[in-house]
Amino acid sequence: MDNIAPSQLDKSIVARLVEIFGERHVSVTAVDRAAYSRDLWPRTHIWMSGGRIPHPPDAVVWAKNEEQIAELLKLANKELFPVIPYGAGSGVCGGALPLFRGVILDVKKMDRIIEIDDVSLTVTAEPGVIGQHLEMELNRKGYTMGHFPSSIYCSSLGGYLAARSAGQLSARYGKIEDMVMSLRAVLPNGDIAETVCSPRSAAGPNWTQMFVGSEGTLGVITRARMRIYPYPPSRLFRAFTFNGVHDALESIREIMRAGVLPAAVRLYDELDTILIGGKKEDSVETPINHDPEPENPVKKVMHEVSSGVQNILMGIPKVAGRLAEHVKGKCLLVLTFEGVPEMTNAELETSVRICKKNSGRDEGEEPAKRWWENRYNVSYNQSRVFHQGSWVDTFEVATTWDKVEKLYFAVRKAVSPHAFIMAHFSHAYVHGCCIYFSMLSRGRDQEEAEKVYDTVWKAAQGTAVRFGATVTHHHGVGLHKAQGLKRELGPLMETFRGVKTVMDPNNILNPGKLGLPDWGE
Amino acid sequence: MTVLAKYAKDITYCTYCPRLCRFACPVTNAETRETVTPTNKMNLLELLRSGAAQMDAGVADIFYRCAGCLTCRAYCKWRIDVPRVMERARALAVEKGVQPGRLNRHISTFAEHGNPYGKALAAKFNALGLEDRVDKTADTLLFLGCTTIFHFPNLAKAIVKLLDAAGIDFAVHGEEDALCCGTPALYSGAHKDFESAARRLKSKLGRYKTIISGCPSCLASFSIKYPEHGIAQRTRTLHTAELAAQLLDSKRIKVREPFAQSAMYHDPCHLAKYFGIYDAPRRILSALFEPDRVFEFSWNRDKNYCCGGGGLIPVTDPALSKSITRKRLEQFYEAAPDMLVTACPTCERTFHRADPDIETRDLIELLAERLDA
Repeated sequence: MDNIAPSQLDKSIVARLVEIFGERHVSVTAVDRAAYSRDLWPRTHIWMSGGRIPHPPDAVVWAKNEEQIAELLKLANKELFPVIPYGAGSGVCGGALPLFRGVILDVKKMDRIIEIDDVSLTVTAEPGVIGQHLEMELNRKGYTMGHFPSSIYCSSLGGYLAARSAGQLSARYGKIEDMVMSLRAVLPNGDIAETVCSPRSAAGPNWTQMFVGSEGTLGVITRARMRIYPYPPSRLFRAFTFNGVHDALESIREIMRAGVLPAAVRLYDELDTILIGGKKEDSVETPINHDPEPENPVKKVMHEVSSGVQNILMGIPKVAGRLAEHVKGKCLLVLTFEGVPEMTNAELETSVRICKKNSGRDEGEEPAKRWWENRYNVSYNQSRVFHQGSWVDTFEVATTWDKVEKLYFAVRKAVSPHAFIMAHFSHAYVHGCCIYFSMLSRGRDQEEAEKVYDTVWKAAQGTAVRFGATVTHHHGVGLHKAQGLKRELGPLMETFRGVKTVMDPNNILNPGKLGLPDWGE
Repeated sequence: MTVLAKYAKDITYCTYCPRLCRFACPVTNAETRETVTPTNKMNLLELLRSGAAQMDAGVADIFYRCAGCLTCRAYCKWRIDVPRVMERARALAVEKGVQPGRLNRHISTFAEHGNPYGKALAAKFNALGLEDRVDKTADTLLFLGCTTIFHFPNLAKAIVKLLDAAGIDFAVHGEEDALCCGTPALYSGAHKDFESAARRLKSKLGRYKTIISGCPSCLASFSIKYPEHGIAQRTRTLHTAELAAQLLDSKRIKVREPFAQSAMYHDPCHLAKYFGIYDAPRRILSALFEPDRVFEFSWNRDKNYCCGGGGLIPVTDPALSKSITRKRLEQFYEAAPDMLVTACPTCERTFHRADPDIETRDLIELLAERLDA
């Protein structure tokens, strides 16, 4: 492979890596280094569309245990090279990019589900286990962790913890920081630390939470004990439509305020309702067909009309963005409830009463069931957008209820001159909510595409910071949102850099992420 | 790269997908290496198409790390058939002469004999005692397939017993180059050999109304892979499990008494995903075993898990194959039934090889043992 720079790692270091990990578990080949040169940050897709591989690591190692990780980190401190912990590489902010080359530490061989404790309702597992594998195994044994990010098929437990993940049923089960009880981590100096496992502790600051969201900059997570729940015996569904987002947001706020804990709460704005939330056959996309066979002509015409609208959006996103500001229509609210029937029935009843009071039209179970059955499908659409030559990215901000609606309109206004933008509201709390924007645009060439990408993000993040909202509810920071984090933290950023310097004086762990110092800085 | 032009859309769709099928890919799960996810394999092809990468031994090796199990397609909203694209990529590797060295003998044996076992296959066939059925006039062809003939003569005899019990008149092929459907050449990337085998066989298949086989890969070859290579083959195909289920349903055959043991059924990938046949084997199982003695894997039916024997991985990387098999067997060991039952000779052989202590049986062999005379 000609367009990938050769590994710069000294041969003696590679030999030492082989001693630590074994020959089969160390690679300096071009194909492996190319595969680990990107994560799922859409910007890396723009690079890929031009065949560019700007950030290959020097080597990839696959760890089987924490002793190997400790040895690696000691070696990195001695020989001075960066180490980038790597789960499943599903982060969307460039958090796993080997910006300054170095060694990718893949932890997916550490994927054991070590113990399910039925009495305490916990599962202990290693960081490399893929989310769907963990949930399937728990389900098979009668439990759930309740963590259902849309990336569940392609993400790992270690990644959830490191990037502070949230799942679609977070209103009921909490976010990953609520689920983790304790963890083990290899510190940058090679020491192995384990936090105490207790429902709560007043023993000083919470060191478990220190590693949650640290994105591989403060240590390498090697094991976690997570809360689990009995698999819910009852699951109820309900959907409502509203004229505009205002009444729907009021309904969500009142539902949460009433003490109801829906499993999923998702409100799609007018555009998202038309394009994603309200689609009747989201799971029955026409397959890519190489050998066309006669198909239902009505379905074919409908599909072509739908594809035509979507193609216009992808073709002229800025125009579509401006036009979209004037779209008035229905907003779909999806609610699901999980638990024992006595509880879910009561929660449903209360929610229905609140939605009706706020002029919501009861659409019954069907739209919510349809969402449930297709809950991971939206991620597949990304392929079609990039195939058309456009790019798509998502921005998940969160703020308190007093500002949610204002922030929603302000971000839309800031972004729509440059991109097509739509949103849904999810991850609701008693005190506020997350807004999840989808933004789509393009450039005439890659250079312009990246320029537009930067313009859109500057407008979006700048608006969020101005409102005092957080720039990331659950995607993390990585490289992409480092500037936003700096603005969000203010003087605390220096404190954070100080913590990093104390814990990792040689800056070997994932340098240049979370606004922390670059390699050699 | 023109051969890949037909799949340009598949390749770009996969390149920009968030690797949503990765959890289902048995190779990815065994190797835990980003490089071998279905997404990254397609990404490599995108780099080849754009000229950013060249086909060399290192790149080619990745295209041979596909079991052809289609589980990725089962979880793809766009129903992208990555194994089919990998077959084309392997053909490019063979054209360039950069295929894995372990395949060379396999390829040359097929080129010489039209099957992967060489001369020995005809001898094994002759030992089955089917001389009077060779090329006889009949509506039905029983295509045993090379793996059944070579490794499972008892299964071959059981299939014959089933057909005889049902009063189905049938013919068989006897020449060494007519005993294999060509799948081994297809997966090796030797597509010229595959296509010449397909043309040779096609001229013999047209005279029958139905082709019956116990090998899902042979049937996939006839009804899916031949047409994909422009070799139209229209004779109806029927898997033995489908036939046996129909015969049981219509009471043309009966089971004497169920087995006392317990069993766990492994869905063969090609049977379940190319043909959607997963209910028929279960209907047979329900005739052969008491209802509470049949266990299921959690990966089952059209979302099953590879046995480790697909895509020639046992030839190109035996350790990887075993690793996939071990993963598949985890739930078998946990449930600890008396036997593992399947409906594909390649699956059966793969399980035998990985753990000879497990009693692995083909459905039809079990059925033949319990046929009520």
